[in-house]
Amino acid sequence: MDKDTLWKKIKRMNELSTLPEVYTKIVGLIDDPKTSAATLASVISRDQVLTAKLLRIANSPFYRSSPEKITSITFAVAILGFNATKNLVLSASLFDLFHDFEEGFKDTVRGVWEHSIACAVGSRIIAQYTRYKQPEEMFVTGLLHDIGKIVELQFMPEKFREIVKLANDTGMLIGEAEEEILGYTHSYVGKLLGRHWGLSPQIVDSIELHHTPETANEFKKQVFIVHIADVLSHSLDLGGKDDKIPLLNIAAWESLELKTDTIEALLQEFKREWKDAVAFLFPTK
Amino acid sequence: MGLVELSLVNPGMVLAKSVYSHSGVILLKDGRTLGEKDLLLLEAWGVTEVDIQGTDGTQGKEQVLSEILSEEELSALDAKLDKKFSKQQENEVIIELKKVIRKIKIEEIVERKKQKNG
Ligand SMILES: [Fe+2]
Ligand SMILES: [Fe+2]
Repeated sequence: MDKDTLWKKIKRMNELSTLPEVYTKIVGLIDDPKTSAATLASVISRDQVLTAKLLRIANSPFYRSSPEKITSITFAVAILGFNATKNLVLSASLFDLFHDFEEGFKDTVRGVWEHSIACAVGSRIIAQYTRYKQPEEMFVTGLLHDIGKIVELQFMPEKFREIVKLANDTGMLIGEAEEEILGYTHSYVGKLLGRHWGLSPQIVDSIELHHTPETANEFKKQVFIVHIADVLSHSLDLGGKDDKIPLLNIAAWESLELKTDTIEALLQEFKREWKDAVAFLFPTK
Repeated sequence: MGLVELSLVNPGMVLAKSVYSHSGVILLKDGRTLGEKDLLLLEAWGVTEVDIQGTDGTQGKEQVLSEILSEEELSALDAKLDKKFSKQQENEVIIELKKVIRKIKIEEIVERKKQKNG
Protein backbone atom coordinates (compact mmCIF):
# COMPACT_ATOMS: atom_id res chain seq x y z
CA MET A 1 0.00 0.00 0.00
CA ASP A 2 1.54 3.32 -1.02
CA LYS A 3 1.59 6.35 1.23
CA ASP A 4 -1.27 8.15 -0.54
CA THR A 5 -3.64 5.23 -0.35
CA LEU A 6 -2.66 4.74 3.27
CA TRP A 7 -3.50 8.32 4.19
CA LYS A 8 -6.83 8.14 2.33
CA LYS A 9 -7.70 4.94 4.15
CA ILE A 10 -6.77 6.39 7.51
CA LYS A 11 -9.01 9.37 6.88
CA ARG A 12 -11.90 7.13 5.95
CA MET A 13 -11.37 4.47 8.55
CA ASN A 14 -14.14 3.71 10.93
CA GLU A 15 -12.81 0.53 12.51
CA LEU A 16 -10.99 2.55 15.12
CA SER A 17 -13.74 5.09 15.41
CA THR A 18 -14.48 4.44 19.08
CA LEU A 19 -11.64 6.76 19.83
CA PRO A 20 -12.64 9.98 18.07
CA GLU A 21 -16.27 9.83 19.23
CA VAL A 22 -15.80 10.15 22.97
CA TYR A 23 -12.43 11.72 22.79
CA THR A 24 -13.13 14.49 20.26
CA LYS A 25 -16.26 15.53 22.09
CA ILE A 26 -14.44 15.96 25.35
CA VAL A 27 -11.31 17.40 23.81
CA GLY A 28 -13.45 19.98 22.04
CA LEU A 29 -14.78 21.04 25.41
CA ILE A 30 -11.40 21.02 27.09
CA ASP A 31 -9.78 23.09 24.37
CA ASP A 32 -12.55 25.66 24.49
CA PRO A 33 -11.40 28.38 26.91
CA LYS A 34 -15.03 29.13 27.79
CA THR A 35 -15.53 25.66 29.29
CA SER A 36 -15.56 25.67 33.08
CA ALA A 37 -14.51 22.76 35.25
CA ALA A 38 -18.14 22.35 36.31
CA THR A 39 -19.37 22.12 32.70
CA LEU A 40 -16.70 19.62 31.75
CA ALA A 41 -17.43 17.47 34.78
CA SER A 42 -21.15 17.52 34.17
CA VAL A 43 -20.79 16.55 30.51
CA ILE A 44 -18.54 13.60 31.35
CA SER A 45 -20.71 12.56 34.31
CA ARG A 46 -23.71 12.24 32.03
CA ASP A 47 -21.99 9.27 30.39
CA GLN A 48 -22.14 6.71 33.16
CA VAL A 49 -20.14 4.01 31.45
CA LEU A 50 -17.34 6.43 30.69
CA THR A 51 -17.46 7.84 34.22
CA ALA A 52 -17.10 4.43 35.80
CA LYS A 53 -14.23 3.60 33.47
CA LEU A 54 -12.42 6.87 34.14
CA LEU A 55 -12.65 6.50 37.89
CA ARG A 56 -11.46 2.92 37.74
CA ILE A 57 -8.42 3.89 35.70
CA ALA A 58 -7.67 7.07 37.64
CA ASN A 59 -7.53 5.06 40.86
CA SER A 60 -5.62 2.10 39.48
CA PRO A 61 -2.15 1.60 40.93
CA PHE A 62 -0.41 1.61 37.55
CA TYR A 63 -1.96 4.88 36.37
CA ARG A 64 -1.36 6.75 39.61
CA SER A 65 -2.95 9.97 38.62
CA SER A 66 -3.05 11.30 42.14
CA PRO A 67 -2.16 10.21 45.67
CA GLU A 68 -5.74 10.82 46.76
CA LYS A 69 -8.63 8.56 45.91
CA ILE A 70 -10.70 10.07 43.14
CA THR A 71 -14.35 9.48 43.85
CA SER A 72 -16.09 11.65 41.30
CA ILE A 73 -15.50 13.28 37.94
CA THR A 74 -15.92 16.72 39.52
CA PHE A 75 -13.13 15.86 41.92
CA ALA A 76 -11.05 14.39 39.08
CA VAL A 77 -11.31 17.55 37.00
CA ALA A 78 -10.58 19.72 40.02
CA ILE A 79 -7.58 17.77 41.26
CA LEU A 80 -6.08 16.64 37.94
CA GLY A 81 -6.81 19.67 35.81
CA PHE A 82 -8.01 19.78 32.22
CA ASN A 83 -4.94 18.36 30.60
CA ALA A 84 -4.70 15.30 32.80
CA THR A 85 -8.41 14.70 32.38
CA LYS A 86 -7.95 14.78 28.63
CA ASN A 87 -5.18 12.18 28.89
CA LEU A 88 -7.32 10.05 31.15
CA VAL A 89 -10.16 10.07 28.61
CA LEU A 90 -7.71 9.23 25.84
CA SER A 91 -6.29 6.28 27.80
CA ALA A 92 -9.78 5.00 28.55
CA SER A 93 -10.79 5.27 24.89
CA LEU A 94 -7.68 3.38 23.83
CA PHE A 95 -8.34 0.61 26.31
CA ASP A 96 -11.65 0.12 24.51
CA LEU A 97 -9.77 -0.76 21.35
CA PHE A 98 -7.92 -3.64 22.96
CA HIS A 99 -10.46 -6.33 22.48
CA ASP A 100 -12.09 -6.21 19.09
CA PHE A 101 -9.89 -8.01 16.62
CA GLU A 102 -10.29 -10.64 13.98
CA GLU A 103 -9.51 -14.24 14.66
CA GLY A 104 -6.10 -15.32 13.54
CA PHE A 105 -4.48 -12.06 14.59
CA LYS A 106 -5.68 -11.90 18.18
CA ASP A 107 -2.35 -12.97 19.64
CA THR A 108 -0.35 -10.54 17.56
CA VAL A 109 -2.66 -7.65 18.40
CA ARG A 110 -2.64 -8.58 22.03
CA GLY A 111 1.14 -8.70 21.91
CA VAL A 112 1.30 -5.19 20.48
CA TRP A 113 -1.07 -3.88 23.16
CA GLU A 114 0.77 -5.61 25.98
CA HIS A 115 3.97 -4.08 24.71
CA SER A 116 2.23 -0.70 24.47
CA ILE A 117 1.03 -1.00 28.06
CA ALA A 118 4.64 -1.70 29.02
CA CYS A 119 5.85 1.38 27.19
CA ALA A 120 3.07 3.40 28.85
CA VAL A 121 3.97 2.26 32.34
CA GLY A 122 7.68 2.69 31.60
CA SER A 123 7.18 6.18 30.21
CA ARG A 124 5.23 7.17 33.31
CA ILE A 125 7.94 5.79 35.61
CA ILE A 126 10.74 7.51 33.68
CA ALA A 127 8.72 10.72 33.69
CA GLN A 128 8.66 10.52 37.46
CA TYR A 129 12.36 9.65 37.70
CA THR A 130 13.16 12.66 35.54
CA ARG A 131 10.62 14.96 37.19
CA TYR A 132 8.64 15.50 34.03
CA LYS A 133 5.64 17.56 35.03
CA GLN A 134 2.91 15.46 33.43
CA PRO A 135 3.54 11.76 33.98
CA GLU A 136 0.04 10.79 32.81
CA GLU A 137 0.70 12.49 29.49
CA MET A 138 3.71 10.23 29.11
CA PHE A 139 1.57 7.23 30.02
CA VAL A 140 -0.82 7.84 27.17
CA THR A 141 2.01 8.69 24.79
CA GLY A 142 3.67 5.37 25.56
CA LEU A 143 0.35 3.64 25.05
CA LEU A 144 0.14 5.18 21.58
CA HIS A 145 3.75 4.90 20.43
CA ASP A 146 3.24 1.75 18.30
CA ILE A 147 -0.34 2.51 17.22
CA GLY A 148 0.99 2.39 13.64
CA LYS A 149 1.43 -1.36 14.06
CA ILE A 150 -2.24 -1.68 15.02
CA VAL A 151 -3.20 0.24 11.86
CA GLU A 152 -0.98 -2.00 9.74
CA LEU A 153 -2.60 -5.02 11.33
CA GLN A 154 -6.01 -3.65 10.43
CA PHE A 155 -5.26 -2.59 6.89
CA MET A 156 -2.79 -5.23 5.82
CA PRO A 157 -2.58 -8.11 8.26
CA GLU A 158 -0.84 -10.41 5.77
CA LYS A 159 1.87 -7.83 5.08
CA PHE A 160 2.36 -7.43 8.80
CA ARG A 161 2.91 -11.15 9.11
CA GLU A 162 5.51 -10.94 6.33
CA ILE A 163 7.25 -8.11 8.14
CA VAL A 164 7.48 -10.06 11.37
CA LYS A 165 8.75 -13.10 9.49
CA LEU A 166 11.39 -11.12 7.62
CA ALA A 167 12.59 -9.56 10.87
CA ASN A 168 12.81 -12.94 12.55
CA ASP A 169 14.54 -14.63 9.63
CA THR A 170 17.12 -11.96 8.90
CA GLY A 171 17.79 -10.37 12.28
CA MET A 172 16.37 -7.06 11.08
CA LEU A 173 14.44 -4.83 13.44
CA ILE A 174 10.70 -4.46 12.73
CA GLY A 175 11.28 -0.94 11.40
CA GLU A 176 13.93 -2.16 8.96
CA ALA A 177 11.66 -4.94 7.71
CA GLU A 178 8.81 -2.44 7.29
CA GLU A 179 11.03 -0.18 5.17
CA GLU A 180 11.92 -3.16 3.04
CA ILE A 181 8.36 -4.42 2.52
CA LEU A 182 6.22 -1.26 2.78
CA GLY A 183 8.65 1.56 2.15
CA TYR A 184 7.64 3.22 5.42
CA THR A 185 7.45 2.26 9.07
CA HIS A 186 4.87 2.02 11.86
CA SER A 187 6.25 5.30 13.21
CA TYR A 188 5.12 7.03 10.03
CA VAL A 189 1.74 5.29 9.99
CA GLY A 190 1.26 6.20 13.66
CA LYS A 191 2.02 9.83 12.94
CA LEU A 192 -0.67 9.91 10.23
CA LEU A 193 -3.25 8.42 12.57
CA GLY A 194 -2.24 10.75 15.39
CA ARG A 195 -2.74 13.72 13.09
CA HIS A 196 -6.07 12.40 11.90
CA TRP A 197 -7.18 12.02 15.50
CA GLY A 198 -5.99 15.53 16.31
CA LEU A 199 -3.65 14.39 19.06
CA SER A 200 -1.41 17.04 20.61
CA PRO A 201 1.85 17.73 18.73
CA GLN A 202 4.10 16.34 21.47
CA ILE A 203 2.26 13.01 21.28
CA VAL A 204 2.40 12.93 17.47
CA ASP A 205 6.13 13.72 17.55
CA SER A 206 6.80 11.02 20.12
CA ILE A 207 4.96 8.45 17.99
CA GLU A 208 6.83 9.48 14.87
CA LEU A 209 10.30 9.71 16.39
CA HIS A 210 10.41 6.97 19.02
CA HIS A 211 12.95 5.00 16.96
CA THR A 212 14.84 8.07 15.72
CA PRO A 213 15.04 10.28 18.80
CA GLU A 214 18.08 12.08 17.41
CA THR A 215 15.77 13.87 14.97
CA ALA A 216 13.54 15.26 17.73
CA ASN A 217 13.28 18.97 17.74
CA GLU A 218 10.63 20.70 19.76
CA PHE A 219 9.62 17.91 22.13
CA LYS A 220 12.93 16.26 22.92
CA LYS A 221 12.12 15.26 26.48
CA GLN A 222 8.86 13.50 25.57
CA VAL A 223 10.43 11.72 22.58
CA PHE A 224 13.41 10.61 24.67
CA ILE A 225 11.25 9.28 27.49
CA VAL A 226 9.17 7.16 25.12
CA HIS A 227 12.29 5.98 23.29
CA ILE A 228 13.96 4.81 26.50
CA ALA A 229 10.74 3.22 27.81
CA ASP A 230 10.40 1.32 24.52
CA VAL A 231 13.98 0.01 24.70
CA LEU A 232 13.51 -1.05 28.32
CA SER A 233 10.18 -2.77 27.54
CA HIS A 234 11.90 -4.81 24.87
CA SER A 235 14.80 -5.71 27.12
CA LEU A 236 12.43 -7.00 29.80
CA ASP A 237 10.31 -8.90 27.22
CA LEU A 238 7.18 -7.19 28.43
CA GLY A 239 4.55 -8.08 25.84
CA GLY A 240 4.88 -9.30 22.27
CA LYS A 241 7.43 -11.69 20.94
CA ASP A 242 10.51 -9.93 19.73
CA ASP A 243 13.98 -11.20 20.31
CA LYS A 244 15.85 -8.00 19.52
CA ILE A 245 16.00 -4.71 21.37
CA PRO A 246 15.86 -1.59 19.18
CA LEU A 247 19.03 0.50 19.31
CA LEU A 248 19.32 2.58 22.46
CA ASN A 249 20.19 6.18 21.69
CA ILE A 250 22.77 6.99 24.31
CA ALA A 251 22.42 10.75 23.82
CA ALA A 252 18.72 10.46 24.73
CA TRP A 253 19.63 8.55 27.88
CA GLU A 254 22.26 11.11 28.86
CA SER A 255 20.02 14.03 28.14
CA LEU A 256 17.40 12.68 30.55
CA GLU A 257 20.16 12.45 33.15
CA LEU A 258 19.12 8.96 34.12
CA LYS A 259 21.68 7.31 36.35
CA THR A 260 23.18 3.96 35.44
CA ASP A 261 22.93 2.70 39.01
CA THR A 262 19.17 3.24 39.09
CA ILE A 263 18.57 0.83 36.19
CA GLU A 264 17.94 -2.11 38.47
CA ALA A 265 15.40 -0.38 40.73
CA LEU A 266 13.72 1.15 37.71
CA LEU A 267 13.40 -2.17 35.91
CA GLN A 268 12.09 -4.00 38.97
CA GLU A 269 9.41 -1.34 39.48
CA PHE A 270 8.67 -1.38 35.77
CA LYS A 271 8.15 -5.15 35.67
CA ARG A 272 5.91 -5.15 38.74
CA GLU A 273 3.70 -2.34 37.51
CA TRP A 274 3.41 -3.81 34.03
CA LYS A 275 2.11 -7.06 35.47
CA ASP A 276 -0.47 -5.16 37.51
CA ALA A 277 -1.53 -3.11 34.52
CA VAL A 278 -1.93 -6.13 32.23
CA ALA A 279 -3.90 -7.99 34.90
CA PHE A 280 -6.11 -4.94 35.24
CA LEU A 281 -6.64 -4.40 31.52
CA PHE A 282 -6.79 -8.04 30.42
CA PRO A 283 -8.47 -9.55 33.45
CA THR A 284 -8.68 -13.00 31.87
CA LYS A 285 -4.94 -13.55 31.84
CA MET B 1 34.21 -8.53 57.44
CA GLY B 2 33.36 -12.14 58.01
CA LEU B 3 31.21 -15.04 57.06
CA VAL B 4 27.76 -14.93 58.55
CA GLU B 5 25.30 -17.78 58.46
CA LEU B 6 22.38 -16.83 56.22
CA SER B 7 19.77 -17.31 58.93
CA LEU B 8 21.58 -14.64 60.98
CA VAL B 9 21.76 -12.12 58.16
CA ASN B 10 19.29 -9.27 58.45
CA PRO B 11 18.05 -6.85 55.82
CA GLY B 12 20.24 -3.76 55.77
CA MET B 13 23.51 -5.65 56.13
CA VAL B 14 26.05 -4.98 53.40
CA LEU B 15 27.82 -7.66 51.35
CA ALA B 16 31.59 -7.57 51.73
CA LYS B 17 32.12 -10.03 48.87
CA SER B 18 30.12 -10.72 45.76
CA VAL B 19 28.15 -13.94 45.77
CA TYR B 20 28.82 -16.21 42.79
CA SER B 21 27.29 -19.38 41.45
CA HIS B 22 29.42 -22.40 40.53
CA SER B 23 29.64 -21.28 36.96
CA GLY B 24 30.91 -17.89 38.04
CA VAL B 25 27.68 -15.99 37.54
CA ILE B 26 27.55 -13.07 39.84
CA LEU B 27 24.37 -13.39 41.88
CA LEU B 28 24.75 -10.36 44.13
CA LYS B 29 27.48 -7.74 43.94
CA ASP B 30 29.68 -6.71 46.82
CA GLY B 31 28.68 -3.46 48.48
CA ARG B 32 25.02 -4.31 48.06
CA THR B 33 22.74 -3.54 50.97
CA LEU B 34 20.73 -6.70 51.39
CA GLY B 35 16.96 -6.40 51.22
CA GLU B 36 14.26 -8.80 52.24
CA LYS B 37 14.03 -10.06 48.69
CA ASP B 38 17.78 -10.65 48.37
CA LEU B 39 17.70 -12.88 51.42
CA LEU B 40 14.87 -14.93 49.93
CA LEU B 41 16.82 -15.23 46.71
CA LEU B 42 20.02 -16.25 48.46
CA GLU B 43 18.03 -18.90 50.23
CA ALA B 44 16.58 -20.01 46.92
CA TRP B 45 20.05 -20.20 45.43
CA GLY B 46 21.09 -22.45 48.28
CA VAL B 47 23.54 -19.99 49.79
CA THR B 48 24.25 -20.82 53.41
CA GLU B 49 26.76 -18.13 54.38
CA VAL B 50 27.67 -14.71 53.08
CA ASP B 51 30.50 -12.30 53.70
CA ILE B 52 29.13 -9.30 55.55
CA GLN B 53 30.87 -5.97 56.01
CA GLY B 54 31.79 -4.91 59.51
CA THR B 55 31.43 -8.28 61.20
CA ASP B 56 34.18 -10.30 62.86
CA GLY B 57 34.52 -13.82 61.75
CA THR B 58 36.66 -16.39 60.13
CA GLN B 59 38.12 -15.43 56.81
CA GLY B 60 36.81 -18.29 54.78
CA LYS B 61 37.64 -19.11 51.21
CA GLU B 62 35.30 -18.09 48.42
CA GLN B 63 31.78 -19.21 49.14
CA VAL B 64 30.74 -22.49 47.58
CA LEU B 65 27.23 -22.26 46.25
CA SER B 66 24.90 -25.03 45.47
CA GLU B 67 24.04 -24.99 41.84
CA ILE B 68 20.55 -24.01 40.82
CA LEU B 69 21.03 -23.26 37.18
CA SER B 70 22.67 -25.80 34.93
CA GLU B 71 25.46 -24.84 32.55
CA GLU B 72 23.11 -25.45 29.62
CA GLU B 73 20.46 -23.17 31.03
CA LEU B 74 23.00 -20.45 31.56
CA SER B 75 24.56 -20.69 28.14
CA ALA B 76 21.11 -20.77 26.53
CA LEU B 77 20.26 -17.62 28.46
CA ASP B 78 23.50 -15.94 27.43
CA ALA B 79 22.98 -16.82 23.77
CA LYS B 80 19.51 -15.31 23.93
CA LEU B 81 20.81 -12.19 25.61
CA ASP B 82 23.58 -11.78 23.03
CA LYS B 83 20.99 -11.94 20.26
CA LYS B 84 18.72 -9.52 22.10
CA PHE B 85 21.50 -6.99 22.45
CA SER B 86 22.95 -7.54 18.99
CA LYS B 87 21.78 -4.15 17.70
CA GLN B 88 23.28 -2.21 20.57
CA GLN B 89 26.42 -0.14 20.74
CA GLU B 90 28.79 -0.99 23.53
CA ASN B 91 28.49 1.64 26.27
CA GLU B 92 28.23 1.88 30.02
CA VAL B 93 24.42 1.96 30.00
CA ILE B 94 24.07 -1.09 27.77
CA ILE B 95 26.60 -3.05 29.84
CA GLU B 96 24.69 -2.30 33.04
CA LEU B 97 21.34 -2.93 31.36
CA LYS B 98 22.49 -6.31 30.11
CA LYS B 99 23.80 -7.19 33.57
CA VAL B 100 20.51 -6.27 35.24
CA ILE B 101 18.44 -8.07 32.63
CA ARG B 102 20.60 -11.15 33.10
CA LYS B 103 20.00 -11.04 36.82
CA ILE B 104 16.25 -10.60 36.38
CA LYS B 105 16.12 -13.49 33.92
CA ILE B 106 18.01 -15.70 36.38
CA GLU B 107 15.56 -14.69 39.10
CA GLU B 108 12.69 -15.60 36.81
CA ILE B 109 14.16 -19.02 36.07
CA VAL B 110 14.77 -19.66 39.77
CA GLU B 111 11.26 -18.49 40.53
CA ARG B 112 9.78 -20.82 37.91
CA LYS B 113 11.76 -23.75 39.24
CA LYS B 114 10.67 -23.04 42.78
CA GLN B 115 7.05 -23.00 41.66
CA LYS B 116 7.47 -26.24 39.79
CA ASN B 117 9.12 -27.97 42.73
CA GLY B 118 7.00 -26.51 45.45
FE1 LIG C 1 8.07 1.04 17.62
FE1 LIG D 1 7.59 -0.23 20.73
